[in-house]
Amino acid sequence: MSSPFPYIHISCPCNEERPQLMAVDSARPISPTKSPTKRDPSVGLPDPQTPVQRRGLQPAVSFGTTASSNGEDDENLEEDDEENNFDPRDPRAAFSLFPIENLLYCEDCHQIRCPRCVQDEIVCWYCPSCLFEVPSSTVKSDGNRCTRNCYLCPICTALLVVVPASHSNSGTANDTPIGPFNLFCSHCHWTTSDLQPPIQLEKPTSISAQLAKLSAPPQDAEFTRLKQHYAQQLGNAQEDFANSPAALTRLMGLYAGLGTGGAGRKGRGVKKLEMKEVDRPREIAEERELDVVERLAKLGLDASERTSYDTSGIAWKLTRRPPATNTKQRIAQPHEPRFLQELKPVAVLLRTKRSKRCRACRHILVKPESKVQTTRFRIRLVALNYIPSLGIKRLDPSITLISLIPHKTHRFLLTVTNPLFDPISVSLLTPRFTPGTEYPSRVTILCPEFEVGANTDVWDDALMSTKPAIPAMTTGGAGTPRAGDGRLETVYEQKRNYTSVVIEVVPPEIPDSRETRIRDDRLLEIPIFVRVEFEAEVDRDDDDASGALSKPSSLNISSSAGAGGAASSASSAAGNPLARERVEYSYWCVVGIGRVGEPVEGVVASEPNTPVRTPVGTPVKAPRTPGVAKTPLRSVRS
Amino acid sequence: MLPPMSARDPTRLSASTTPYRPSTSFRSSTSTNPATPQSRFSTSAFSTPAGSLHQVDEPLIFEVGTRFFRAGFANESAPRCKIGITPEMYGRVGLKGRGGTRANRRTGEAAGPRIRNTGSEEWELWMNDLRLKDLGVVEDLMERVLREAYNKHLLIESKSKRLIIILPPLVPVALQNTLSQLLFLHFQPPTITYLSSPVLSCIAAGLRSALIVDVGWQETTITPIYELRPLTSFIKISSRGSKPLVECFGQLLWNTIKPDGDDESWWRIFNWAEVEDLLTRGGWCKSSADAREAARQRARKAFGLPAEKEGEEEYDEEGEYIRKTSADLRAQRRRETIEAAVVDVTFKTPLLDQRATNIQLPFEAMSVPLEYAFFLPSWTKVQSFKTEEYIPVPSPEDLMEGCQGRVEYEDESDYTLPYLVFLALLHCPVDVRAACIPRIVITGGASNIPGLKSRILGDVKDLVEERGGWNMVKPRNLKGDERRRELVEKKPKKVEVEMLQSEKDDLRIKYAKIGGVAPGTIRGVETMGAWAGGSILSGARIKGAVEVEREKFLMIKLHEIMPPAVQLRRP
Repeated sequence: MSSPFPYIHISCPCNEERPQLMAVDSARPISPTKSPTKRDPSVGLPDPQTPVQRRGLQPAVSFGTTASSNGEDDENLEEDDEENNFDPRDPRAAFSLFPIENLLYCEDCHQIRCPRCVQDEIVCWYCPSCLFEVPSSTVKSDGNRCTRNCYLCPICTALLVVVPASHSNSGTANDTPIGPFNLFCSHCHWTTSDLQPPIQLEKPTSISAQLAKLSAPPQDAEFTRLKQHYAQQLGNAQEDFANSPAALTRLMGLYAGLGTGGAGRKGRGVKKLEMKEVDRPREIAEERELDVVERLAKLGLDASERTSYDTSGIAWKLTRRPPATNTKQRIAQPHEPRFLQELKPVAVLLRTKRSKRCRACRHILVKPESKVQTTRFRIRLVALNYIPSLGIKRLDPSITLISLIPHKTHRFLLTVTNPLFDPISVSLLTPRFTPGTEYPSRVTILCPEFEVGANTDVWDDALMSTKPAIPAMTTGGAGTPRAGDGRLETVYEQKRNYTSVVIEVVPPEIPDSRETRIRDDRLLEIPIFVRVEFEAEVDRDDDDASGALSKPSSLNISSSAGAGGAASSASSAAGNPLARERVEYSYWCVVGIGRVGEPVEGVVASEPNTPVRTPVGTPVKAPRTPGVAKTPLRSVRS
Repeated sequence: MLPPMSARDPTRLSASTTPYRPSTSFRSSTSTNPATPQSRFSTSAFSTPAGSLHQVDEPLIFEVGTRFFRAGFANESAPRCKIGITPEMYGRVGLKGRGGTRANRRTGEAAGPRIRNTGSEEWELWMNDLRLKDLGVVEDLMERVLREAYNKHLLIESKSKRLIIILPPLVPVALQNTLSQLLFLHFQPPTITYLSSPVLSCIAAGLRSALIVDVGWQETTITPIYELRPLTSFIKISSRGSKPLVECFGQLLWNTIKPDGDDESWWRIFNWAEVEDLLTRGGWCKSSADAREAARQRARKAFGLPAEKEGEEEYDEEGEYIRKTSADLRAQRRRETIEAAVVDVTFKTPLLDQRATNIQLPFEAMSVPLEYAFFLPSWTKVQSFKTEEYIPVPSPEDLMEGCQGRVEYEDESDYTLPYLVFLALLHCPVDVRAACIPRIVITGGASNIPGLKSRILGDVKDLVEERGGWNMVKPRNLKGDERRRELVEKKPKKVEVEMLQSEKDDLRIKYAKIGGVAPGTIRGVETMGAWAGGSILSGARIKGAVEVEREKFLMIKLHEIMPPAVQLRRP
């Protein structure tokens, strides 16, 4: 099994808003009709200095002080750590953590937007199987399903094909096949002739119409009966007069003043007619139920082995097929049939293309092209293009991620890649001990504050070598300065648009609690608070001139050119360098490093940060593949 | 101001919602006569049909249950989508294994998210004991479910449609509050109407009065409905539901394959879904007569008597040969089929030595968990399929008259289903009882198990016979009474008995002619389920008396939550 580690999930900031959801949203325009573009200045976040406080996120404040004092005195923060940290083990955290690919970014709010904090608007409906676009007027009446020939197998959900029921004329290809036809699943070999009664189609086309004619579930009849009954009783619908016999009897009853159920109502006159219950309601019959039991018993549960023959006459021994439907098959059908023989082919569910708006400022974040066949987007503000992406890899290839050694200092390389065209300054903050568990691991980021270069064109680097480089830029990472005690004080590696820092993790010794406990204490996840600051062009809402300049460019770009759009805005900002402002945003992310393994003899908890002399000095390219990690761990210690 | 507040109380709401009336309202008539919605010609019948053709305002109907969420449009016979709660839904997006922190016993790898009780938590949306559940998680999960329903199945924009939400009769108010808040903030429907599911089940059965027995996941709720009003003060609850049913089955299976000395819980060995799925596919319930016979055999065994053979009963007490009718023969054949049938069961058991465990069970075994869960006293120790007796043989003391091991002496929350039905009917006012006895509707997830409905009804019939009618006071010594009556009263002659019988038959025939049943006949009625009831109701364009409106709800909520200082800053 390939190891799932490491992974990095980003917590959407809407997570923090959730507990005080009402309070935050109250300040926003609640109804969509109310001023979708205008935002409340106090809350709408153009003010970059207070976004964190606005969201009531204390840890950032406390960390801010740490960051400013260069992270030296983190001892006094331990109490704060317990209080405000993001706990990846919290049950609610699972609903706010997403891989970065699933996130969007609102340019106006300068905020990450997860699927929960966007609003969907349907652009078009289409069938994913035949790619036919369905007009919105018929979507609902079609039952949100394809009404052409796309049907799914009710057992394995593969697409069904139409085959002639008789195999006699399969010799010549250009023969028009003669009916009757079956729907056939080429994956599990289910056919509509398995049904009871078997369904056979006359024509190979317009299947929906034929199926509708052939199989009307009895529940529908009952439903119509009830509906008619109530409509008649209420006397408010046109059914009343359309169904003349029913209406007639009712009228007769009305004038005769004979409501069968209405004892004691006679004195009140004929106007008030008691509502009756339905004529002969379906009774619970023991016999019927026991018949079902008998049928179950006869069919056995898993023991039915059948053979069927395909067109070439080869017997296909089917795997055991239980006669009763399982839960998944049952709830996919409208009336929850009990036996497989009652399953009907399922029409393909339509899909939609949806545009997405930011819930807070109502700006469009994603807008696909309305044509079904194209996969392009007119607007697509994905978070990958806006927020720095984190990556983590082992500095020491001998680390086995799925069994980290307790008390040993594991060093990982945390790489921050900047997708923006402005250099950003990043501060990474992490609680000293991983929260939410009884066995916390000690985590240290060696250089929590650093710059990441702009995502300039690769050619820019080559051509404009005279461009003022970022001061902290070191080339190749070879000359990594090291402090006296062997700890890395500065960044490990800094290249064009990414910077790597070292993160040290010391997992604790965790007793084997698998038998007794439910929670997985050995899973090591590190929450990291990422704060990004950069200078960007002025917000468009504030400055109309620049907005007119940059908006069309960002609206017209397609998905592939998303980065290009940002480039053009960057260049337009470069045109008037005065119109720049400082943008800051922050978010929590969770790094799933691995699992803590069994303690290894020799590695003991002598001191919190055991300086293990791993070959960190030589900047090896740490391989991502865990294949190398199979080297025995003992060779590392020494 | 009032509607949203009262809307938070489901029982009150449903009571006030029930005077359904046509949207062309007749306020005066409903206020003077609180009994029923009146049928009448409405003005719309004479107007042009264009208005009704133009069905703009058809609401969506959501049914929120513990395990399943159903959603669909009005006027349709079945919901468009049913979404079941699975452990994956509690997990993170994009993480294989979905970020669970539950450890696999053998490998130590994550096996699923957090679990507290018997592992059922991860299959439920909420539990009735909200102390154990973070409402925030419920909200998050609900949001996920709703988003899937809207985006994948309903394919409409949530802002446009009114909502009708069907809730179980005793849903916690806090939960309903959370649901409203979530919906209004994130999905922004214009209004929400809450309806109570027993009333709708009653409608979907075509009745106006009924005793609704909802065998739900966490509990069984019995609600008497009289003229479409739920009598909330007569609701009876028992903790026996589908969840204990699955638990019993899991325990039985685990007891069967358990190696000695392994005291692991069954739900860490088996997958809940697999156990439940097997039960829904193959579970069945013994008929009342069979169960009585089995109990009798157990009693015989308790006293050390040999088991009776079936064939011995061909002659009755007077030595007359009992002629078997065709129905008897069919029943006999059925019994033989069931006895001979065998079930192959395969379970994934990754934590045991072998990856999958295959058991062959007699088909009869599939009915045993139902006995434990619904019909046996709650203290009956769950046996295994290994032993000869699937249900333990009682000790002779247990069978004595007046012993504590009888259904009447259960905890109030643990009454067996037939007894609970009996109690519910017994405690109803007489008129309601008269209306409800021939209209018992059994619904809920477990009611789909074949045989269960008729078993409950059959057992109730037996119980009534045993108790000698609907008497609050239990007759202590029927035998003695009979003997005394024999001495005191004149025994009616045989002819008289026959006449009485024929009179009864006459009554029955008379009622059968007009399409009803004789009063006092215990009869069950099938229902199409609460969702279909909601669909019918809203399809008839009957509006609830109380609708929760979005603007009002948010306004009141904001006043509740926000301190005035924050209020001032609002634009």
